[in-house]
Amino acid sequence: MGKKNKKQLADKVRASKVKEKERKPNPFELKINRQKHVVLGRNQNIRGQVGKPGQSRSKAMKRRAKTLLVELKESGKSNSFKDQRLGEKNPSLSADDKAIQRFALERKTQSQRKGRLEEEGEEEQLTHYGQSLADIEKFEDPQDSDPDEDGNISGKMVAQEHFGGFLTRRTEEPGSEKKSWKEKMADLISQSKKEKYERQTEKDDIAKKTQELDEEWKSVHQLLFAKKKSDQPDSKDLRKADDYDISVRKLQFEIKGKPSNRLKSEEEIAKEEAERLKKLEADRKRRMMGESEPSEKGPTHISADSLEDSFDPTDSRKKKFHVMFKDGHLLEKPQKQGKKKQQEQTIKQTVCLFLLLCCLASPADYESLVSLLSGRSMEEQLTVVERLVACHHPSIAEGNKQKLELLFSLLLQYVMEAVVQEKPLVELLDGLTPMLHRLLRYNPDAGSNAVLQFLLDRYDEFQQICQRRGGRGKYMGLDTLLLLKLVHVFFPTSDFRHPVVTPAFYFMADMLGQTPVQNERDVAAGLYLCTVCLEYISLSSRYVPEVINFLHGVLFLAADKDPSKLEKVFPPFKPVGNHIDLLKLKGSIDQVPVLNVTKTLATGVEKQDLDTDEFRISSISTCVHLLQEFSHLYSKLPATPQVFAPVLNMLKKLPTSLYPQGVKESVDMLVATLEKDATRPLTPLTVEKKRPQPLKMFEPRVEEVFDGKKKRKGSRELLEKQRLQHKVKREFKGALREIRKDSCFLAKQQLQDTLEKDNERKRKLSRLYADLSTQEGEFKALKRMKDKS
Amino acid sequence: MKSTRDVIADIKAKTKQCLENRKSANVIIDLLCYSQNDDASVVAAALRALQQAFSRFLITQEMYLESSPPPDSEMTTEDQYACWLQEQYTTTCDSFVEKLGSTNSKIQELALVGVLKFIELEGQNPLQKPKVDEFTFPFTLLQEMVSKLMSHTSNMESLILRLSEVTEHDDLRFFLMKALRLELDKTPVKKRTEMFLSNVLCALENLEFPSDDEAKLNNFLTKPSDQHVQHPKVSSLKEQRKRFTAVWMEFLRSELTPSLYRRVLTKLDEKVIPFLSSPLVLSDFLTQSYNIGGAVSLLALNGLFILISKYNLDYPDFYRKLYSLFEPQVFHVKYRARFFFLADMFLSSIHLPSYLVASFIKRISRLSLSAPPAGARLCVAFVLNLFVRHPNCSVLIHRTDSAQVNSDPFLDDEPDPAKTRAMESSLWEMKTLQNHFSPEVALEAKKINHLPTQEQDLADFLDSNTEQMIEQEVKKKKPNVPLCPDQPKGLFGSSGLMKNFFTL
Repeated sequence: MGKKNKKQLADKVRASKVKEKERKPNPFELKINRQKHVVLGRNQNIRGQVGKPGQSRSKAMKRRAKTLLVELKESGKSNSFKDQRLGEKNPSLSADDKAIQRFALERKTQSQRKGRLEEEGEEEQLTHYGQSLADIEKFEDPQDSDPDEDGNISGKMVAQEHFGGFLTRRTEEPGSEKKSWKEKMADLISQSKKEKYERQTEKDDIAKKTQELDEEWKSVHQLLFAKKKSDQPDSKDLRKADDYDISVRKLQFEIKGKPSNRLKSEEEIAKEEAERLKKLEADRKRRMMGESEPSEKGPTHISADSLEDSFDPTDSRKKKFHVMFKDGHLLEKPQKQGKKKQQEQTIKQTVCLFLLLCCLASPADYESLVSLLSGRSMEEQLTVVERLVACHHPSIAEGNKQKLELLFSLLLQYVMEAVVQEKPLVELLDGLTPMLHRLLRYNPDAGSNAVLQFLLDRYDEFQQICQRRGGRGKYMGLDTLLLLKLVHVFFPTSDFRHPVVTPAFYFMADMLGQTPVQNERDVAAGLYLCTVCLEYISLSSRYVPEVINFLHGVLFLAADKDPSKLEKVFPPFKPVGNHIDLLKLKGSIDQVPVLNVTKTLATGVEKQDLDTDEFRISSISTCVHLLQEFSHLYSKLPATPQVFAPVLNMLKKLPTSLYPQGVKESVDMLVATLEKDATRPLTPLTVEKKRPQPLKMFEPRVEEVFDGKKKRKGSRELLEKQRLQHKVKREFKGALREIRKDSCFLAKQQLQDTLEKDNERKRKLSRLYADLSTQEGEFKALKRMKDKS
Repeated sequence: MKSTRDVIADIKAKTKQCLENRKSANVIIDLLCYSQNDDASVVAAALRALQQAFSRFLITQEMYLESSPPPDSEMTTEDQYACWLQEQYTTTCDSFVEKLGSTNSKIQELALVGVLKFIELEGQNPLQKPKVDEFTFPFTLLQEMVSKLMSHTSNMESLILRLSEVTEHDDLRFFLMKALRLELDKTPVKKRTEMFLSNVLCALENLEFPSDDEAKLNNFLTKPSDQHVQHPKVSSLKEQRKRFTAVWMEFLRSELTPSLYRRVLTKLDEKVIPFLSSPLVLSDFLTQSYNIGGAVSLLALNGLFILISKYNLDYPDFYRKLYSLFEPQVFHVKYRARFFFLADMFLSSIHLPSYLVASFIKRISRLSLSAPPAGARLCVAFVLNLFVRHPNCSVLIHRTDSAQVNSDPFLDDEPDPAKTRAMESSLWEMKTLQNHFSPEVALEAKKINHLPTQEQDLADFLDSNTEQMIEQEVKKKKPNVPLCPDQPKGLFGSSGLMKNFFTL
């Protein structure tokens, strides 16, 4: 016994030792990849931390021996042997077992073959889960999905009866004896059938009762519905009958008292007006500086009413009168009654005209406008136009705006042509200007376009003249000159850039700069243009070189010239020529008349009319005054001394002794101003300092949640691509390594094969030698024996 | 009297006869008679017929004589025939040359084509045996033609242009230059009329030289290219250039009218200087032209600059002269764009001294104060470019060290750009232009507040004028045109200024 125990113990120890050995690998067989840093929170069992090179090598060798070696051995063979004997690959089976199995299989196949032969001729039945498909496909009496009704026994029964009911020991009824299993089963079946029947009856009962209830409800429901319908008409009749209700409702919906604007006091009105003006001025200044609008707004709409407010009632031409009728006769205002008969007649005429125009369409083309206006006195024409405009106020009918647009351009054309007639009707233009302005306001864009088109047409004409005369221009007719003035009346000329004003400016500059001064009209036209320029820049004081050049030239024409020396003049003036003494006074003069536009610039003016000392002295005086204005405006420009230096030089050459006292004084004053300006201290230019650019700041990138992985940036596709590329690279390297090892294995195998073959041959050879030597020995021994014997 | 159509039919029949049979050669005389006809179409037909006939004779060498005509007694009939044909040929040539002066342009052209054809064929098939190394070229015929073309009275430009189309042939070019030289030599300087000079100039400026310097000159009109007869003079480019130079020098000696002068100067840089044997021979002419002043100076500038930059002409006063050319008139001459383009080129070197550039900057800025808007814009862009090239000059717009001055230290009357004291000044002119009425000029001038770092292309500004500026302005469509807010009282009523100076 003790011995046995001892042996058991020894076995135990040995077994445990063996186990230990298996569990604990040889540390020399391990290859441990040292971790440089221990990373917190990282899984300790990282793949590849401990490698077992010996094991993995032998594994690989075995694998190759199974695959590659087999392949190598079969490499020269065209077919191969496949062992499919039953049980041959199972090493646990003994030879007898194998034989038994094979025999059983044999018998089975034989019997099957036999059965099949017997059954042949009958149709095979298709089944599904053991049921004939033909039965199932009838789809009659579909089975209820209720789990209780599929013929299974109830859960309670299962719990009690199956497997003896486990621990649910029933207290045995005392009266009943122990039943046999068969009896028990019969009981069980009957019980379950009973239960099923009960359930069925119960279900039927419920269905029946539901039906009954439904029918009852239907009758009740009808009653309810009918009552509701009969309710409504009753109330309606009630409301109709009462007028009071109606009025109450009406009052309910009526707009209740709305707060109206308080009447403004005079101070408030004045304040508002001041604010409006302030805003307009700020707008103008902004445009003058060439800044864009702070926010895109539509044009500030000014209603026609406000226009009427600013209409000057004191102007006699536009005096309004009320027209009253009584019994078909015209009643005049009492204050008119005392006036002259002639005036009464004109009023009557105008009223008739007005009545006529009320039903008259606005002129569709230029001819109709001319026919409407021609033959009437100027005042009548003005009235006609005024009425036309009033009749076609945009608020009266649709399409009036377009008509007024057309009227504007037609009127403009009309006045332009009136101005260039033999006897220019400048007064007409003067009178129509407010009306034109009013028309322009109805549609500023279209109107300004019309004005611009007029200007461009005139400019084209001017350009053609220039081309014909080899670059030398001509002062255009009175219409162009007045149109340029009209631009100033219509548009804010102080704007940095304005769609109409800027081209007009260029036009004037070109005319002043290109046209040689050859007669008195040229001088007058040039001076007129200079004056218009002065008006244009009176607020913005922009620099116009051509004006200064021209005024300098005018002074040159009036100055005493040294015949031996050529004066420096600016183009288009020339230091020599027939006209260089155009404005030199012939004698002294006392009067200085103001220049008249019509008398100097109109087309019909004769040269002799202007070839007088009066004209010359007026021109000189105008020129000097203009220079004064310009020097005043430009006094803030830093290069004023340089600009006016030639002018100053020329002023000193004027023969002032011949001039009237006033002109002489103004010349002296101008000289004094310019000299004072010339000595004004100048500050050297400095460029504004640039604000230093701050260094670019780099902020650290903070990740809200760090999960221990570096996140690569990029789109999903890019990341996926990168991942796959990485994988491909790794696989490629792995495959290369495998191939290298494979070839190494093969080479080793081949070497081994050859060595084996060699050894075999050596062995065989040596045995042959041995055999032969023994033979030889025996032969020699025999021979010796024979010799002996 | 026969109708024109009959005559032409007759001419055609006779030509055919003459070409078919030697015996009917006498019809040539009839053809010559027809060529003196008054009717232009008859003349044209006759000229065509004669050209056809003699071209055939030249090709078949029927007029060929071994040597100079032997005495009559020894002549074979063959020789006599050839002799007679040669006589007719000279008469024909004379009549062709005469027809060059015809009033009918069609006949002129026909005659020119005919003569050129004769020259070509005669050169290829000489009438007599050529001497050993002589270049067979019917020079006398060419010379006659040239002297007719270089007419003193009528404008032959269309014909000369036609002629110059064949000057790509080296031999023709060579002999044409020789003929022109002779023609010029024949006419004394005083007698050269404007028309004559203009004709000569037209011929000279349209000569076509091979563009490649090393090219072999073997493009001959009169020799088929396979017969390589080397003529040292004709086939040497050097020799041709020598001749070209000689003709030009002779031509430039004549008294040129201003328009011709300008024409010469505009053509010099591209059509003449590259082909002269030594371009420096032009330096006297160019410096003289430069001293004349005005537009001529502007034009001479370019040629002179080419000589200075490419051919090492030493001309110390160049920049001083250039400086003096910046005058107010410069904006009103036709060559404004050219002048500023050249000036920009001359001042493009970054090795120019700062004081010089500063003087130019000041001068140009001064000019811009009296310039038309387009000119002012060009000036500003020009000055900005100069600032980019010469950062040293930026003291003109940024000076911190000195206090206020009483007047501009810059001396605008000083002709020497080295003494103008421009570096002490400041660019107040640009500051003034910032307030120019033209928005374009003002915006351009505002750039000096922050100097650009790159040069601007001047090409857009060079040719612009007020018309284009207006067009630009009109194109900028802007909605919501601002209007004057106040109702005017009348045309002159709104502002008091006008009333002070003018009454209606």
